Formats: sequence, C-alpha cells, structure tokens
Amino acid sequence: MGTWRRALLHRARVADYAARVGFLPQSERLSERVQLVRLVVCAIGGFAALWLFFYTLSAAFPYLAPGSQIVYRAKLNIEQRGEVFPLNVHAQRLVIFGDSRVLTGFIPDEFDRLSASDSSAVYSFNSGFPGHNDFVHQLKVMAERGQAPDILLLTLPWNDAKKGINPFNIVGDDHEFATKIFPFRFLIRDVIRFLLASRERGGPVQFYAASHRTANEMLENRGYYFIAEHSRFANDRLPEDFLLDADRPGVIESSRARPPLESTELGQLRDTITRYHIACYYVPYYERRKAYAQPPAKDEEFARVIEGRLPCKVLGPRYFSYPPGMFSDVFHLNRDGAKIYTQAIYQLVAEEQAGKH
Amino acid sequence: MRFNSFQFAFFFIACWTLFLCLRGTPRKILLLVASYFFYMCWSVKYIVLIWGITLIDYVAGLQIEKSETGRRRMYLGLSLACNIGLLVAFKYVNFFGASITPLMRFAGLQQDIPLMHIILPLGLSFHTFQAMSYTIDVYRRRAPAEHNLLNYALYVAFFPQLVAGPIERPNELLPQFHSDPKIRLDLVRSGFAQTLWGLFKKMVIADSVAEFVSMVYQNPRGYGGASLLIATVLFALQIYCDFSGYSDIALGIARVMGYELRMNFRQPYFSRSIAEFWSRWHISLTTWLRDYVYLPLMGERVSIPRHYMSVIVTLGLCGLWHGASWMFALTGVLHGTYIVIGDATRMLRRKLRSALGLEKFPTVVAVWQVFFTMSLVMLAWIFFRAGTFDSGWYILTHLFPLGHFNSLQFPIASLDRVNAVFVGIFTVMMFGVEWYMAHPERIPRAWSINVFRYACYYACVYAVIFFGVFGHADFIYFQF
Repeated sequence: MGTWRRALLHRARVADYAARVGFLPQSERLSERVQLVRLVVCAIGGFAALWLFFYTLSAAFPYLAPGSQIVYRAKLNIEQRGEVFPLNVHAQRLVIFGDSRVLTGFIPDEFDRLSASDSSAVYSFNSGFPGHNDFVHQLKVMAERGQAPDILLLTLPWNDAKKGINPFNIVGDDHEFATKIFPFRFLIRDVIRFLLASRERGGPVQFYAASHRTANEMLENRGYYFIAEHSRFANDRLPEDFLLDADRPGVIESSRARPPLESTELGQLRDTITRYHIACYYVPYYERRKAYAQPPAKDEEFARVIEGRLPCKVLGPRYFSYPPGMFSDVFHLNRDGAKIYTQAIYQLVAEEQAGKH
Repeated sequence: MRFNSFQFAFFFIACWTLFLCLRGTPRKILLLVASYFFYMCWSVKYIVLIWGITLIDYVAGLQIEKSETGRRRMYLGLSLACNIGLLVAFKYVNFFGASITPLMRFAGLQQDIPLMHIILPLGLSFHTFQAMSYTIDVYRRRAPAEHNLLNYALYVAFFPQLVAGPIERPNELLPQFHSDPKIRLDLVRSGFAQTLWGLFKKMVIADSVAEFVSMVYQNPRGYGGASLLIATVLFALQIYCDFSGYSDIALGIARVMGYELRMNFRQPYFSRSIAEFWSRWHISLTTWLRDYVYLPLMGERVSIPRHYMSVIVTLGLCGLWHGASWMFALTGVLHGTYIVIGDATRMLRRKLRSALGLEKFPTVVAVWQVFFTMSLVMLAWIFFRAGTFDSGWYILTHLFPLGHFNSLQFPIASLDRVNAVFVGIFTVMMFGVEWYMAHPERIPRAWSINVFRYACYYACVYAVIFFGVFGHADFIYFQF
C-alpha cells in the first residue's frame, strides 16, 4: 500500500473517530453539514437532469410507444377537445367504453351499417382504452363539451376511488402516480419492443412512419384498432386447439363482476347519465372459449348491483365466449372476430331499443 | 404504509427533514409520532396493541430489575404471557381450533370449535418477539431495564423495523436512543445506497415475478412440469428479493437517520449447507430462536440426540412463527431434518469426497454444494408457498417431466418477453453484486471511482423507475 494511501486511511480513521466522539472542530462539522447539503442537491440535480433527458427523448419520439398507447393518447385527445361526434351528423350518437377488448372488438362502421339496414341512423364511436378504466371522467368531459352520447354502452364497472384526502393514504394509486410523474416510464421497454417489431415491418424508419399513421387510421375507424403487434400466428388467427395452462375452462370469469358499491365515480356516472338523458346499457365483453366457462345467460347478482345503483340496464351475459380462431392473441379478437362481436352487441341493443318503442 | 410506495417516500422526506432540524427529546418524540403514524396508515385501531405491549413490557422490565427472585419470575411470566397471549389470540387461535376439531371428532365428540374472524395485526410476530427479548434479557441480567418510557416506546415502535424486523435486541438498539445519533455523510450515502438496493430487489425483481408465481401456485393442477419448476424457482427468487429487499430498505433508512439495525441477510443462496443457509437467512430471527429457544432446550448437558431434537423443534417453531399453518411447521421441520442429516453424514461425505479425489477441485465441490443446498431450500419453499399439503405434494411430484412450456403464459402474468428478459438480466446482475458484497476484497477498482459509482446509483434509480412495479401488494413478510 502506498504511503499516501496509508496516510489517507489514517486520516479517515482519525476523522471517523473524531466524528463519533464529537471531537470534530466547528469548521469541520460545518463542512460535514455543507457536504450533506451538497450531496442532497447534487443527487437531486443529477436525477432532474436525467428526468429531463428521458422526457425530451420520449417527447421527441412519441411513436416508439406501442400502437395501443399511441391510440390511447390520440383518443384521449379528441375526447378532451370534444371532436368525437361531428356536428353536422344527424344520427343517434353511440359510444362504447371499455378496455383493450372493446378497442379491438367493436367496429363502429359495422354497427352503423347494421343500424342503417334496420332504418335507424346511428353514429357510433369506440372508446376502448387499453389498460385504463377512467371512462367516467372521459364521459363527463365529452358531455361537458356538448358531446354527450344518446346511447352509452359500458363493459366495465366504475372505479372505487373516493373523494377527499386521506392522510393515511395520500397518493392512492402508485402505478398511476408513477406514470404521471415519469411519463417516459415505459420508454426503454417500448424502444426494445419497437426494434423487435420493426424487423418484420420494413425496418425502424418505415415502422416509425407506420406507427405515426396508426393514430389517424384509428380515428378514421372511429376508435377501432387492431393490435397487430401482439399477433404471433398466421392470418392473425390462433389455432382452433389453442389452450394455455392458465386457462380455466371449468370456471366462470368473475374478476370484473363485483363493482365497488360506493365510490365517487359511481355518483359522477349516475349524475352524467341522468343530466344528459343518456340511454345506458351494460353489454358483454368477451373471452376466449376454454379460457373460462360459458357464463349464465344473465348474471342476476351483477344486474341487481348495476340496476340498483345506476339508471342502466344489463343486457345479455357478462361475456361472450368465442373460439380461438376469432382471436389474434390470447386476449384480443381479430378482424373477423370483431365483426361477430359487434353484430352480437348490435343484436342486444337493437332488441332492447325495439322493446322500448 | 409500504416502503415501496410514494406515500412512504413523502412521509420519509418530511420526517427526515424535521429530524435533521431537531435535537434531543423533541427529535425522539418526532420519531415516535412518525412511527405511530406509519403503523396507523395500516390500521388506526390496532395502534392500541403497540401501546399495550409497550406499557406492559416497560413496567415489567422495571419491576424485574428491582424485584427479588420469585417476583422477578412472576413479572417475566406476566410479560411473556401478555406477549404470547397476544400472538395466540390474533394468530394461532383459529389454527389451534381447526387442529383440535379433528382430534375431538376422533375422540367421538361432535362439537366443532367455531372459527373467529380476526385480522392479524401487521408485523405482530416481529414486535412481540422484540418486546419479549427485552424482558428476557432484563431477567437474565444481560441488559439493564430501560427507565425512559420514550426510549422504550421507540425500541418497540421504531418505524424502519416495526412491521417486518429485523428483530432487534435491547443491548443493540436501546443504547442508540440514549443520545442523539450522529448524522454522518458516509452513513447517509451508504444508507441511501442500501435503501435503493432494497427497492431495486423488491420492485424490479420480486414484484415482477410475483404474479406468475401466484398464477401457477393458485392452481398447480392446471400446469405442466416446466411451469411448476419455473414458478418454484421464481418463488425462491421472489421471497429472497422481497424480504432481503425489505431488510435493506429498513437498514438503509435507519442508517440515514444515524441508527444501525442488525444485518438480516448475508447472501443466503450462496450457502453450501442448510445450516449455513440458516445462519445467513433472516439472521435476526434465527439468532433470536437460537438464544431463546434452542439454547434453553439444549440445557446444560449437551448430547447429540438432544441437539438434533432441539434443532428440529426450533426450526419447527420457526416455521410456525411464519404463520398459523401446519405447512409452515412442516417447512421448518423439513429444514431441521436437513440439518440433522447433514450433520450426521458430515464425516461420511468427507470420506466420500476424499475417495473420489474431489478435494483437488474445491471450486467444483463448492458449486455443487451451493446447487444442492439451493435445491433443498427450493423443495421446502414448495410447501411454504403451496398453502396445502395436497398442492405442495402435487407440485413436488409433477415437476418432472418438464413437458412443453408455452411462453404466451408470461404476458398473462404481466411478464411479457421483454420484461422476462430484463428480469433475467437484473437477476444475474443482482446475484453478481451480492457476490461482490460477500467478497469485498474482490470488488473491482472501478468502484472506487466516484463517477462510476454514481453512474451505478443512477442506473439503479432509473431501473426502478423503468422496470419497477408500482402499487404492488405488501411485502410477503408483512403477513407474519
């Protein structure tokens, strides 16, 4: 060991001992405090610089994100701006809310075509948000912008957030909060997924341009979007004998069946529906056949909770079961499947509307 | 309040800032109020239990110190009865009820013992064990009674270790509350680094694999050998990263405030025998059990059969400490049996190694021993995680043949291809770093370069942001 190093070590030991017994002279103690402040400031400064770097990067390349995310942002944007329904269209306005299953399952063009063939004019919009369930807020915003739908189709229950600050739980949802303060949180994963997917789609530059077009295509399709990046099988069809170990063919899927009985969102939803005279229906979502068992024709318990708390009617079972061939990945329908699902939804709504009149 | 939540981050920033501004008793009062607030974020009403334990053991400690032999024993008994009674009432009453009912039926009694709806207070086993170690040590005259209630209340409720340990000893933690801790730059730096490392292990590794493990273990009969094996390996990874991550955070935040807690883990998965594993896993519990259960069981006269019996009983109790279930007890007994077999065959194995000439290849022997120990540990984890003996046995007997594994199952458990690859890379890195921690003399020189070290810290921070799971459920050991 070199002399200088020995000297340094000795000094460190002396300083350590001196600090422990409180023998440090005032000037040294001050410098320790200054160093502590400097450490904290430098740590925060470095963190902020990196935050800015990643934020700039993600803002500069917004189309590196998965298609479903690009679609989500675009959809949110037009709903916030009140541009979902054109002003010059004289038809019933219909909007369906839900998650990525609705996004990939409901084709507004198909629904409107079926309505037109039954001599009723409907202009529908698919407001499926992948990975998000904040439809109550979106509906409220749309209504406030003069875009309240005449018919509202829902597939998911409301969230259970309650109003007011709870000192024992200030933040609430950490995942949501993290995504808000670190909007680039998925950047690295997105870039890697993007690069992997771009190999089969003409390289990064072409794929980036195609992703750029995705949002416009989705808006042209009035919210419908086919999640191509998850599709791994030929012709976007799962094999008919497709089965996962995780599948529960003997069990009825029930994770979405029990909505929270009291929540701020429930009150907001009820108010919006009543104030804007919206005809509201809970319609089935869908599952892959054999992923879960076929549900009963009507979930009485679910209907009792929904109809007891909202001016909404529950139509049909909790979900439809479709064969794997109608799916492009384990969760989402392909285009053929989406047509069938849209037709089934149309059937339920049309029957209900016909019954009313 | 979870350590891996924003609520805790805000709480700690506020608490630490005020802590730095105060001195003496106000500082301790702040710590105590913060600790009670920390607990009340989980349950407001159960704070009464913490107050109860604190008062009873505080008074018992004082009385034990100043009383004569007979009374000393009475006060110790009273304190232990209260602590153990609390544990039994909240944790084991239903377990005993459910265990006695079949025996009663067997004896011809058709009376069922009704089950009670009780919520187990958070971290009850930790703070009752810590409180018990205080009165026992005072009784054995190994520690003086604490005369200052504020200090004692902090000893029981100090928030970094309140809900999941490390289980502290009076001689180590209490003296630290007697004077103002020195906030030193090197300690602050190392405290934050350890906290960050704990967050990385918990949020980036443990929580990323948790959903897949849960999915498979909830319904093992639906899965093939490969899925069962992967889930078992991932559970071993999850429980280590979850609990050692928690301990790292606890030690780190305590050090940032100038307090030192006991080390709870020393790279247990690098152990070469089960006995070594238990000297590196949850050290504060195993040493507690050694001092207060194993040694009294051994008594004065040391004999091999008594040693084996004591090991099995101690580890069986260690299993039961984790939860009121025969499965936990079985896990403990299994580990005890491993140790007994390992001890009994030590000479034989040494001779075998010598006969095979393996002593010339110490690295090969070491790698084999680590692998074999790890396999035995994982085998015991199966029963620990499975919940019922049927499920555990099913998993154990269906690990092989591996059969086909469909990787499309990963996305169902929020672990798609990209995430899975990153979890793999981070796991290798984590074990690499832990290996260096165990062998500090081999740490590369680059680590002493500030720029490199800070780059590593920032990489760790942003790995948590980019790959961490936010808003996941509690730490596994909170339920104990």
